[in-house]
Amino acid sequence: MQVISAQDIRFGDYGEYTIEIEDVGLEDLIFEGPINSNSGIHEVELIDSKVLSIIGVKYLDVDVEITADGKLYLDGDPSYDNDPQRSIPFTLRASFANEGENNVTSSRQIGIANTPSMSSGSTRFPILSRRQQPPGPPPTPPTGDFDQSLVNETAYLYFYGQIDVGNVVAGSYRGTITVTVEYR
Amino acid sequence: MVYQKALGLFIISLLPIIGVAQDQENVSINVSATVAGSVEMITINTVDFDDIEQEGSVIRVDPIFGERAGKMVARGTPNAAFRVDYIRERELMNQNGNGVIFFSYEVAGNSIDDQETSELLDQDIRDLQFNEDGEFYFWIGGSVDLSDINPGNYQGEFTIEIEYI
Repeated sequence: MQVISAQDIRFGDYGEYTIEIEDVGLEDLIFEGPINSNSGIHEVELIDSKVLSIIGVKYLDVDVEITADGKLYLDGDPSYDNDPQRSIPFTLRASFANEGENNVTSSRQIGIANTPSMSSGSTRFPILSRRQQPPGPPPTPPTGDFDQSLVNETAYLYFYGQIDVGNVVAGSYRGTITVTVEYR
Repeated sequence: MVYQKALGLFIISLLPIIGVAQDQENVSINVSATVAGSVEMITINTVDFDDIEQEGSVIRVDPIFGERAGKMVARGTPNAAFRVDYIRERELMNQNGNGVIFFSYEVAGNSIDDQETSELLDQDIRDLQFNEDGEFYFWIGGSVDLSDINPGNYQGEFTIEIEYI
């Protein structure tokens, strides 16, 4: 058997490009109240997403990895993972926009596998969409005169989803989403 | 000696490169939801008007400084904000016959169990907050005009409404 790999060059390896993730808005991903015990599904829709911006070299691809707790825990304490009265199942959804604008309507969904213990997903996209064109020639690696700010663009990540509130005790429930962005 | 100097320069010259190279970034996003619970009201003392000193026809129990004030504790969601409202004036019915008296309630509240530092809740709707243990304390006093009433044992209810914001 012979394995043939497609040509795959990590251009990001050939230069000291920086990448930044910034919060757009200061709020967390908050499920707004009033939320009562046994009240079922509460949703944050795409339009109300928590937004992050990724600032990087527009012609480079980035790998985005997302992991999240599969539940929100009372007081953020993960030891309640098996306690249905002190944890709330959380279904994460995410999407990205790389048309140069913070615009949910042009965003594309990122596949997230949600399990009771963890949610995870990943995707790869260029910071600025190539709009159905084939990729151009490889970029010139940065030299001493390179000014990355001239080739920077901003892509956006959107986080939303739902919780299913069962017979839980009153209190503050919290979970965490971790996002890693890296040049391909 | 010369060798040591050269090594030192080499390490220093590497540092800026390590500082700049940053082709990966991690961030964490907090996800949160607050589940409001039911509120439990527990009566610890009722207002005590027995053998109270009378000034004219009016007797009064001060909710902040009166030892005879009633005391209640509300138990709810720790640190949650809530709104409270209560009925200011209530009819008390004579249990032994005819007669009605009008009782004017005065309520003070505090997030700690300390009557003397409690605050008079004299506005129509108040925004308050449960303490870290999910408790909030109320002291209930009030006044009643005893002129022109029949003797008897008068009883009535006190209604307080608590609503999460």
